[in-house]
Amino acid sequence: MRKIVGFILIVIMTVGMSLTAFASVETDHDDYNDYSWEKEDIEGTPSTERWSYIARTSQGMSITDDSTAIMTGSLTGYRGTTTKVIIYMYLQRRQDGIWKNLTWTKDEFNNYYGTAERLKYDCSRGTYRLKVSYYAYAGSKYENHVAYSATYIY
Amino acid sequence: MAEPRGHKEECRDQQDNRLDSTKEKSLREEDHIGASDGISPADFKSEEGSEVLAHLEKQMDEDIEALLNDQTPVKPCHFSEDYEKKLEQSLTEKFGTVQAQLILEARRKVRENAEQEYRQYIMSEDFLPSSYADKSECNSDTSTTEHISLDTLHNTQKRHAKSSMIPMKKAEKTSKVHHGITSKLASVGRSKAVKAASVLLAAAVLTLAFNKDVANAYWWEDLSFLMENFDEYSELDIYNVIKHDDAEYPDTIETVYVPTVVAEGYEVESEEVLLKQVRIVYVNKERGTSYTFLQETQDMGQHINTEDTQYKKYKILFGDAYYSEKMEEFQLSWYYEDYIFSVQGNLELEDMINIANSLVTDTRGD
Repeated sequence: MRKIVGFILIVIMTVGMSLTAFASVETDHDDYNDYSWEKEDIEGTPSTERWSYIARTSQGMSITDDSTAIMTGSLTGYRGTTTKVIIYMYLQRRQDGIWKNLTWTKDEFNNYYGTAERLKYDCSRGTYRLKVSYYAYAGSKYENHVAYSATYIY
Repeated sequence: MAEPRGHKEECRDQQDNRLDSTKEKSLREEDHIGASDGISPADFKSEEGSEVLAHLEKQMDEDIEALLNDQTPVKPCHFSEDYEKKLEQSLTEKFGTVQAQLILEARRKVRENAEQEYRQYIMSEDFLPSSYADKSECNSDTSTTEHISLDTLHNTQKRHAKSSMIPMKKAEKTSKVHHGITSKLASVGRSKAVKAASVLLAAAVLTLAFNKDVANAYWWEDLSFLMENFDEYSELDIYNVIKHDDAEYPDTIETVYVPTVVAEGYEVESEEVLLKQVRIVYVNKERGTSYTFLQETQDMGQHINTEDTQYKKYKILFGDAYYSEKMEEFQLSWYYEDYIFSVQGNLELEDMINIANSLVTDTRGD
């Protein structure tokens, strides 16, 4: 009986630890890059409402056979409400268990929608993702939404 | 919806003419068969045989009439290997190996002819502005990845909206089926004609029936959207992890799709064909409203606002579509032929579905 109980406890502990380890993989806790400058760069005041100026975002990345990363971030806001869109894109590479920024871009659109698309050449083999920080403005107020692409293993 | 009724009627007239000419052609060919063999219809060996043949001819005509009167668009679609295997297996069980192979061969020919005609048709000057056709030829020689001109896309779209292409294509396809049947009859002789006609009629009916089924089945056969619901929004991602060496989908836009239907009162404001996205924005200047059509590659994850939003699933021609509604802003998202599509804006659900159902393709770089 003791053996059975012991076995069950070991199973529970093993599964629990595995789940904890799994849950910790793809979170913000492994992104230690400094983004404070981004907030300083942004003008206006944040909106207290969520999804008021953003209707939809889409983001993705891939790397071609000739080592060129294609990074795309797209936002659609509301016509008559959203007045400006700013898109920051960060190409991140997994190194030593954390995500490190390789490069970043900023695109600004004086419209209620915008799509940023950039290329990064000479990417080496590794694990990548795209982090996109969207800012949608209505006058001087803005709304921020952060999104990630799928993890890309090159 | 802005559907030009005048053109629709004009196309229907063309279909009727085409049907008449097809019938005449078939009759002439059958006359020719009789003349060359020295046999007239009265020389059938049994009354039963002539009755069966007459019944088949009547059935074919009825079938063709029904198809021509059916205004549901038929889209060219591809079939998964798994589906092809299941189809072959199913036909073999029902009809035996020989007849199953005959049916499959006839089906392949019908599809090849339809696809060839479709390709020729969309590249013809009747269908596209000459500048667009020239550009496509240039692309085919150089296999460049240069983007399609936005002006030409715009023109293409206008032409699509006015020309009601699908029924004409259907008429051509149908005439091909009919023509194939009569040709086959000529080659196998009278005694085998009934059997051949039965097989080929079954092929035609099965082809059309399966086309419809597969168009609807494609979604759940080949795709599983991973959907995660958060408090504030929903993510629609096909992939969480992508391995470069295993990725089989196009990671850039290789086939551009354009909706042929434009919502009433709207016109194109802007068009962009990027590496991973096609965006067409439509505006209604009088009302000050807009809607957006997006085509994106599979690796583009979607974030959609679902806070205080109704979220439903609807059937469109290409499978299931996700529909969300908040205040006066609506979004419809679906997957088809390796790409993610969406229509978003101030439109009624019915209009969105009509737009979604009206997609046509053109390739660049082929």
